[in-house]
Amino acid sequence: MLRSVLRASAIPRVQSRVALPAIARSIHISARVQAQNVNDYRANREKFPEDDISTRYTEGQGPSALDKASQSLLLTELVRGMWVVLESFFRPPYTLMYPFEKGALSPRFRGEHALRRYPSGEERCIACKLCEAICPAQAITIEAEPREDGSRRTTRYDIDMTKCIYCGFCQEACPVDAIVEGPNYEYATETHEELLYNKEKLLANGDKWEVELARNLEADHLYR
Amino acid sequence: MSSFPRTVKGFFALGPARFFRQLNNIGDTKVGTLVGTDKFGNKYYENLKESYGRTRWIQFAKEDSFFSRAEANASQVPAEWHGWLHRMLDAPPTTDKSMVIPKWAVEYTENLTGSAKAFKTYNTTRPKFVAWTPKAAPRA
Amino acid sequence: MASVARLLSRRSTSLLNAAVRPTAPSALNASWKSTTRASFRKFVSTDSVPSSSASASHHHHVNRDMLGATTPLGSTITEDVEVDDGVDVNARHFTVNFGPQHPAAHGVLRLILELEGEEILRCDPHVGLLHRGTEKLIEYKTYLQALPYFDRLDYCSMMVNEQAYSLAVEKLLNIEVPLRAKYIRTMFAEITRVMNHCMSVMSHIMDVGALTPFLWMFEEREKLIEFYERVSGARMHAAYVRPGGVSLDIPKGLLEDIHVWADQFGQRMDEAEELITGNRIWKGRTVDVGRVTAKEALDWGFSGVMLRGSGVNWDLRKVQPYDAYDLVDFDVPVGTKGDCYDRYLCRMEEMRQSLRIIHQCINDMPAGPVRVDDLKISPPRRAHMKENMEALIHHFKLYSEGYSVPPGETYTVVEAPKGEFGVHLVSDGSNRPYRCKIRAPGFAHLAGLDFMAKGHFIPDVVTMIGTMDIVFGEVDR
Repeated sequence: MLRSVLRASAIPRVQSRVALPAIARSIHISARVQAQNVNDYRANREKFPEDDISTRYTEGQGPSALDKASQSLLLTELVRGMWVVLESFFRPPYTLMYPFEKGALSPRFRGEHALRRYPSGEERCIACKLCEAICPAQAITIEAEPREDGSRRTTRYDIDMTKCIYCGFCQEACPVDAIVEGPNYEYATETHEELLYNKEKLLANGDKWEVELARNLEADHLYR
Repeated sequence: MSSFPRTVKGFFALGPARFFRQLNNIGDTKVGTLVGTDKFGNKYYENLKESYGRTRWIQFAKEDSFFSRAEANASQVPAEWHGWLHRMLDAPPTTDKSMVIPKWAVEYTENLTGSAKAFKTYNTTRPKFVAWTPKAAPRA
Repeated sequence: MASVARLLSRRSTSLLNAAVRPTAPSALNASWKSTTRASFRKFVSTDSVPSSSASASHHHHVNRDMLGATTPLGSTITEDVEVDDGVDVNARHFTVNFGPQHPAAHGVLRLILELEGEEILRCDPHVGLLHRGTEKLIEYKTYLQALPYFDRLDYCSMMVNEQAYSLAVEKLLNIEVPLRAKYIRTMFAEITRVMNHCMSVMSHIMDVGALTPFLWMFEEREKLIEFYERVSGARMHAAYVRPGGVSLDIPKGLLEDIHVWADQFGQRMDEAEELITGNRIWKGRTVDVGRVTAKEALDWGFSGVMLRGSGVNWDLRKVQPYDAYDLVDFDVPVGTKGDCYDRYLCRMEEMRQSLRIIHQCINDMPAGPVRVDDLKISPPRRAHMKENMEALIHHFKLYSEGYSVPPGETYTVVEAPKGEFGVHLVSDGSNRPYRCKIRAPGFAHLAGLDFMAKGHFIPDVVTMIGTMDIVFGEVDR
């Protein structure tokens, strides 16, 4: 009965699997199908009946009056539905008891930001400001000057975590893997200003999470 | 409490103390093997017969008990164990030889918001403008 | 108490009227009333038509707050009572403010419902409470930076929106993405469709009164969100589909897990359908509610299931296939009556057809690159970027200035789960869009709520909002 309501597509389906190269085939077919269907649609557009479309399909179909009456009186569909509910009542629950059990994460997860260091302990960021340039929310502010040893480093690296949209463009843009979005998402705060991260906070995050940050980057390096 | 037989089984497997502790915290009785303990005293358990997503769990060191108020917090999982608990890694840090902890790594801290040690942002640059202190020449 | 007062309102106003004793209305007022009432003339009892005597004044416009009465829906009812010439007193229709905090309003929808009893005479959607100026903001972003905005338009079907934008940019750039990227996009578009329908159909059912299937399907939706997370790193706002392909290849093992999921999802749907589809309460709430004829659907610019539910066989995946839709085999379910029940059936069948497409994508997906091989458009691989000076320069150019798109304009559409999602992109040859107009299907559907809801009851409005699958991220943009 359910299926009778649904009518399969009347548009002729493309079945031809000729030996064209795949991309050429796709272009070829799409152009042809598109033109054909648009023409079909235009030609038939005026034929849609104005008022009631239900009478076209339902005449002489459907269950008999006896079927209807018995199903209605015996509550068959409700009983069947409740049986499914009863079945699922006896299944083990799938609730995750956070924070004791936690949801799965992948190495690509984009959470709290961190600034990383080289294994020697030297900070990676060279203040190229690509992350500042790409950030769609303009959440990053960078200022830089040469350090005493002559190397170029940031003096200010602020991220407004309340502006950030966690798109991950900063870590994609970073040529030295300095700014990353780590696996931590449990950094909710009570006040707004705690989320205005400065360079020290980001470096501290990196120092805290480096064990996992390095592993995640390694796990994903073949794809990046 | 998930189901009555499971709860009863849990009571006999865990013993009364851990049974009530778990009901008080997780709300379910979970029996598993102890995989390791981190430096804060959090214990990590695993039971691969549990349903998907519930195979690994943590028993916090500061959980709610008869004697103490709950100070457990989801962010108390240190970085070494974080990946294992979130099922990113197969091996726990106790057996994982490839895990490298850098020399300059700092002590893990939980999310300190609301406490006196909460992060307060500050300026990391030299001030752009220095206040002008007027020096008036002494009047003749 | 409030309802008693409402029942007695005619009597009480005439008592009030006897005390106040106003004069007859002027001709001006009478004509004003007749024009505003013209459309509802049939609902107005004949004895309440005011006499058009030309004396000096006035009908008092008494706005009585019904003792601060609130409906069970939480909206305040104010009753406008006009005291006329002493004989003809008629209560004006109730005006109910439905939303914007109403849980069945799917976000920040505010409806002004004009009621005769419980029957709806007029339904005036007020939109704009979630307006963020996305289209204007996009004009000030590079083509890559504009991408995350599309996740946040229809935040129930993220990757499809990205796909529409990416296809538009690719059209202007005149590039063809690699076949693997096409298959990945198609697969994730269908995963997104299942995700969206899990959300929309089941919350529709929940609005109508059944919580159980909602929870069942949200378990499935959570699995799909995990697939999103594994492929892109974000559970919702993926920023995964990019102009020129997709951002990263599918991680190892993901296709297998999607396959395992797709194998069992049909059973989950069977369970949900066993509970809902034949259920007499559900049918009582949806059959013949919100009938839309094919003509009306076309006139009001409906698209997607709102159009197909009325019997119009129009699916953009079939009529102008994009990405890999011409390489996969699927059917398009079409309704017959155009009521909420048909649209529900169409959505459920669409989910099954999506499963078919997902299976075919998994089986047919070739190996190969996932981004177009043009360093002027897609960034180089990180390993190259670190070794190769030229790649590094390209990397810097792409992530600072972005790529310039040749001048031109395109209106590119995709069959989003909600209907025809279109991006009209105008490029002036610079690295930022000159104009980006977004065609949201929900906006056109919401405009049709007035004619759909006319003559129905308040609970049917909830059903109709559910069936239209409104998400305010895209309606308000």
